[in-house]
Amino acid sequence: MKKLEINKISVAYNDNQVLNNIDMVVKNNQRLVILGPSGCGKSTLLKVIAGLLKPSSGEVFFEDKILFSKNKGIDILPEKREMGFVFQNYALWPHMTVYDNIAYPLKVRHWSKDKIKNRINNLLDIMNLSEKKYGKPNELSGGERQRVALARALAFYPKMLLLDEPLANVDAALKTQLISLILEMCDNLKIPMIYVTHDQQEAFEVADSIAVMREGKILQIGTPKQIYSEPKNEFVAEFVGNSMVINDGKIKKAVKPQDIKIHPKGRCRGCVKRVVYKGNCCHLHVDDNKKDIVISVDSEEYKVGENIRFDIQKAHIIEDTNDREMM
Amino acid sequence: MKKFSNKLNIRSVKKCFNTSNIVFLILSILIVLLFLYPIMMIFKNGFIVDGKFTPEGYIREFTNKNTWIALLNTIKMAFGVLFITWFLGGSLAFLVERTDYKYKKIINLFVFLSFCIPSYIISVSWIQIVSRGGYIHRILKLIYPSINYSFNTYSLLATTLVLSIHLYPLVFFGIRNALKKSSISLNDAGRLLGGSKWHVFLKITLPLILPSFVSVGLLVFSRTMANFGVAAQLALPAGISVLTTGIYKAMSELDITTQSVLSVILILTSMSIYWVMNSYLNKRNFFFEDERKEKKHNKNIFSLGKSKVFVNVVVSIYFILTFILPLISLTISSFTKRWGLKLKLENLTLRNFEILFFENEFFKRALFNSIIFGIVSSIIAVSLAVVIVYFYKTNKNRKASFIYKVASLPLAVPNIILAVGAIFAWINLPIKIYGTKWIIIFTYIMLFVPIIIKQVKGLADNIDDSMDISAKTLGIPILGRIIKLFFPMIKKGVFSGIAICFLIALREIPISLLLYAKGNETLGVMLFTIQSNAYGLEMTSAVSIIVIIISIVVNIVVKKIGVRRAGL
Repeated sequence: MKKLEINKISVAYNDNQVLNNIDMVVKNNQRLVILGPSGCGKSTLLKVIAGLLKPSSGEVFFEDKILFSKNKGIDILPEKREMGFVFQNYALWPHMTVYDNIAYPLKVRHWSKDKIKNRINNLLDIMNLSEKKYGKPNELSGGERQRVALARALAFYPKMLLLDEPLANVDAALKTQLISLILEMCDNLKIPMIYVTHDQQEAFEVADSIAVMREGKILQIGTPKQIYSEPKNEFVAEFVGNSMVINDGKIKKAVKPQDIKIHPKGRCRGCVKRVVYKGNCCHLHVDDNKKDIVISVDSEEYKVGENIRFDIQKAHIIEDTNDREMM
Repeated sequence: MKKFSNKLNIRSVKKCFNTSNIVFLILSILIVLLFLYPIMMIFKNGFIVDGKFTPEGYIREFTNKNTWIALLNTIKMAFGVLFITWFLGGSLAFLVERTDYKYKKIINLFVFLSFCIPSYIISVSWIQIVSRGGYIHRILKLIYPSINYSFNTYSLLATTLVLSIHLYPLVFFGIRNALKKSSISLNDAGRLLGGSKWHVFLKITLPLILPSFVSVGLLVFSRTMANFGVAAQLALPAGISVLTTGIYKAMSELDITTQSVLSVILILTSMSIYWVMNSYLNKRNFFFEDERKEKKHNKNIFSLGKSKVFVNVVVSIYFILTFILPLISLTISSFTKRWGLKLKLENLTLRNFEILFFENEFFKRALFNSIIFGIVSSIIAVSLAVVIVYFYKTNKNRKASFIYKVASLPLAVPNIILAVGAIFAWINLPIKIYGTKWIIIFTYIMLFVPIIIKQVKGLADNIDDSMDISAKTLGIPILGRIIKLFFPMIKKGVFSGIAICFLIALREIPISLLLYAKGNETLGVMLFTIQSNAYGLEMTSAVSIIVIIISIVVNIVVKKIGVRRAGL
C-alpha cells in the first residue's frame, strides 16, 4: 500500500530553515495535494522527492527502496528515480519540436523508433495535440504547452507524478478541463501523484488528501473534508476553511460565515460595515468591537450602518497547541 | 474666396514645416554628411585611377596575389581568434556558472581586469616576454649561459594569440550571462525525464546557448578583422600583411585606389559574415517565458570532485600567463632605466614616470588631446544619439528608420576604414577639416554615435509610448519632452555610453594615427610611434601602465553605473 515515505526531512539554506522535520506518507493511487502560501517550502519538498535538491537530514523511501538517506549516504540521482515532473513554467525546451520534447525521455531509455512513434501519437491524440506535433513550444498557447509538459512527464510510464503549481499560469476556464485530464491520466496509469498549489479551490478539486504547509512545517494532513471542517489550528482554519478564529476565553473556535445566524434575540451584537455580493449569497462584514466577523446571508436585506444581533450556531474547537508557538 | 485659398496654402505649407519634418531634415543632412558620405567616398575612390573613372583599380587589386594573401591572413586570424576565444571564454564561463569551483570570484575579477588591458599593450608585453633579449631569454640565460635563443616573436600566430587574450573576456561575459539566464528548470526537466547530466548538458543546455556563442562570436570576429594595432606590431615586422595593415601601407604610399579597394574588401567581408551569422540568429531566436527568479540551489550541477586540484592548477597557470605575467613585465619595464639592462635594484627608477608627467611635452599633449577629443566628441555624439533614438521611438516610420539605420552603420565598419573615409570626405569642401583636430573629433563622433545608440536603445525600448503622447497632449514642446522626460529615463545608458566612448578615445590607435597632424597627437599615436623614437620599451611600458590604470578606473565606473557593457 505504502508507496512514498518521507522521514524527518529538513532543508536549510545558510541559516534559513526551509523544511523542518517533515514526515509524510503517500499511498498507492493517492492524490495528495500540498497546499500552502508561497514561500512555505512546498516546492522545495517536491524537489527533494524528485532528487533535485539534497536535504540536510532525513530519509526518502519509494516502494521500500531508499532514494535518499543522510545517515547511509545514499542519494539516488533524479534521472534514476523514474518520476514524472510538471513545472509551473512548463520547462519545455524551446529548441525542440513538440514531438522531440516528448520523445526525449523515451530516447534516453533506448525505446525503438516505432515504439516511440506509437506512444507519442497515442499521447498527442489523448491531449488533442496531434496537429501541433511539429510545432515549437513558442507557437503554442499556455494550455497547449501545459498539455505537452504533461504528455512529456507521463510518456515513459513514471512510477509517480509530481506537479509543481502546474496551473498557475492557466486561466480559470481551462483549469477545470486540465485538472480532469491530469486526474484521468493518473488513474489510467494507476500511479500516485503529489500536486503542489497555493490555490485551495484547485486543491479541493484534485485531492483525495491534502497536506497544509506553512513555514517549512506540515500543519495538518487529512481528507479535504477533514481539513475543511475540522481544522487543527488557526492557520488551517483561516487559510483553507474560510473560517474566522474567535477567542472564547481560553479556547479558540473556528467559525464559518454560514454557521452564524442573524436573530433579533441573538447573544452577540455588531454593526454592519460592508456588504459584499457573492452571487449565491451575501457576506456581511460586521464589527463586534473585537474582530471583523463575516456572516453569510441569503439576501441583500441588510444595510451598512445597521445594528444586528446574531448567534454562532456551530463552531469547531481548535485543539492544536503547537500553533501558538509558531504565531 | 481668394483669401480663403491663400489661407489654405499657408496652412499646408505650415503643415510641411512641422517640428517632426524639420527635425528629420536637420538629422538627415547631419547623418548623410557625417556617416554616409565618408563611406560612399571610399567606394567611389576605388573607381578612380589617375583622375579617371574606371574599374581598373578593382581589377588590379583582385588580380594581385598580395590582396588575396592579406584577405586570407585576415580570415585565418579571425577564425583562429574565434575558436580560441570560444574555447577559453566558454570553458571559464562554464566553470563559473555550472560547477562547484571554489574561486569563482577570482575568475570574474581576473577576466574583468584582463578586459581592461588594451590589445596593443598586450602585444607590447608579448614582445617584452618572448622576444630575443626578453624576459624568457634572460631567465634561460641565467640557467644556460650559452643558450642560443630564437623564438618567432612576430607571426600571424602571435597576433592571433594576443588578440585572443584580449577578446576572450567578451565571450566569457556573453556565455556567462546566457548560462545565468537559461532557466534551471529546463535542465531539471531533462534530468527528471532520465537524461544524465552530461546528456542534458549536450542536448539541452548547449543547444540553448548556441545562439549566444554565435552572437558573441560575431563580435569577436569583426573585432579581429578590424584590428590594426596588434597586427601592425606583431605581424607586419615578419612581412605578414592583413587587410588593415595593407590599408595603412597603401596610405603611407599615397596609393588612394589600393587603399579604397582594400577598404571595400574589408567592409564587404565583415558585412557578409555579419549577415550570415545574423540570419542564423534570426532563425534561432528562442525566447524564455516566465523566467521567474528561481532559487539557484542546484545551479552547480557539475561537481569537480577529484579534478579540483587539476582545474586549480590549469586556471592558475592560465591567468599567470595571460594576465599576471604581462602585467609584471610591463610594470618592471616601466621602472627600468633602459630596456635591456640587467634586473638589479640600481637599474630601477621612477624617472620614466617623472619624465612623462613633468618633462615630456609630447606625453602631456597626447594625454590632454585624448581627454579633450574624447569628451568633446562623446558629448556631441550623445546629443545626436539621444535625438536619433527619440526620433526613432516617437516616429516609427520609414524616415525614422532610415536615420536610425544610417547612424548605426559605423558599428559594422572597422575604425581604420572610418578614418580612411574621413580623409576622403573631409579633405575637400564642403567640410574641409583634414589636418585639424576636428577631423579626429568628427570621426570619433561617427564611431561613438552608434555605440551610444546601442546603450540607450534598450532603456528607451522600456519606456511606454503613452508617456510621450500624454506629454504632447499637455502641451509640452519637443525639446522639453526630450530634456525633461526622455533624458532622465535613459540617463544611465547615456552616462555609461560616455564612459565607454571616453575609454575608446583614450586607447584607439588607427583613427588618430591616420588623421593626426603635428600638435594633435593622441595617446594611441604616442604608443604606436614611441618605440621607433628614442624612448623605447621602458617608456612604452610606463605609458601603458598609466593607460591601464585609467582603463580600470573608467571600467569600474561603467560597471557601477550598472548598464550592460557593450564590450570594448
